[in-house]
Amino acid sequence: MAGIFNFLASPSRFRRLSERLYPYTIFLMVLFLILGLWYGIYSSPPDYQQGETVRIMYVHVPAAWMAMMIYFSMTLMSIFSLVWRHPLADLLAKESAPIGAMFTLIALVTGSIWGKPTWGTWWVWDARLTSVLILFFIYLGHVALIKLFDDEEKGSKAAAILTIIGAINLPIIKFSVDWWNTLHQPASVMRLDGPSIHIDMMIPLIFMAFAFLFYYLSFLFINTQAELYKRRVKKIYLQNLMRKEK
Amino acid sequence: MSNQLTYVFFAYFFTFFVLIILAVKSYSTYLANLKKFKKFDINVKK
Amino acid sequence: MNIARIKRKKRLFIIFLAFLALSISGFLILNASRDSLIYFYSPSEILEKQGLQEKIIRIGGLVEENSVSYKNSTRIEFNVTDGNKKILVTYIGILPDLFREGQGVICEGKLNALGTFEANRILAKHDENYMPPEVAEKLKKSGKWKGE
Repeated sequence: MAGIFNFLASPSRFRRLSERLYPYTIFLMVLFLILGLWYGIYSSPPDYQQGETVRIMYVHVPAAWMAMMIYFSMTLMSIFSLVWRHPLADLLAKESAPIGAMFTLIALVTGSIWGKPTWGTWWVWDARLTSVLILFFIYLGHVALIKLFDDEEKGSKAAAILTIIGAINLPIIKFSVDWWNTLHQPASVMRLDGPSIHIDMMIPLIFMAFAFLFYYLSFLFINTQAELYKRRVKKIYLQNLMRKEK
Repeated sequence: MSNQLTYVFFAYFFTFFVLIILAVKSYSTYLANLKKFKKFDINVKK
Repeated sequence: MNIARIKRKKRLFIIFLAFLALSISGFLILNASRDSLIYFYSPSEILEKQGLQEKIIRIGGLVEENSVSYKNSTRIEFNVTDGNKKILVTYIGILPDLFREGQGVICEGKLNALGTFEANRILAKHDENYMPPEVAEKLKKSGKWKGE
């Protein structure tokens, strides 16, 4: 286990690996997107109460799952970065944050579009909605904090600390619907007594979740490569400069 | 009914708009950096 | 090598402790601000609590079956129940699409001196069950319907 971990922890090795992997993850993303859209928009029934509006759920719920999943993996990376000082962990957290922010924004906006016809309001300040909005701001804070520092290492350290502190928000988001009276309904899929959602509606939901997961992986790989190439260029440039001065 | 579909349309429209924007931006940054790297690499080897 | 390992352990321990402290303080803060985190009260809680009159609050529960009556085209009265206690709600305005008897509802407004709730905003609460209409129909017929 430690061997695999050390093997992957080298940024250049990870770059070569992701270079090889990303065409496959893009292919899987497109495949699951087509399946998800086919079932989500066309081949699934309307809901007995919401009617057609239920289709918004097929993008809203997977986006919300991704928002939390990405944050969770960023927390793990932050711990790795602070404890083991792996340069790759900082890099992955840095490249994950904008994607996570985007999925959080999608969850918030599509939820709002769903709330208007279903609840009768675009937005309420209940515990679930507010805690997800806070998650969005933490993501933005992560992006901003790294940009703010001139020294990238210091910025990453500050961002890692922010991520770990913000991780308390995750159980709050998950259980807010159970702990407090909220307008948002409790979980339908991730619950102990089995999902309370019909299988025909579960299929597009799962396909979309996989599509979003592979979207995240694809663009995590691509962004990480881009950043590593940029760093290499900078390094070579500085070396040349120093050589000339000599 | 048509009203409900309008909401559905805008939810999907927003989702894919954002997904595509980020995808295009990421990939173009990647290509630009790769191009720069290759150019530099050749210069260094010379 | 050995010193590096001890340092690593120390850092891990510090993070663990910091996270523990944060979780505990977070829990205490949330516990203390419970009242403001609750988005709505149930009818039982409203009737137990004192001094809620003339304050803007929200109540939530189910619209009691056969209790909805239209006083004129826009004025509506119905009971909100939590299965235990119920409160009469009056409302003037447009109702959300999902408002119906037996369905969850949240009303924002004031409790007047007579114990009637004067709502100025009504939100429909959706439950966590999703199914096609035919399945709902079948469930109701076979008597396996879990909803209200």
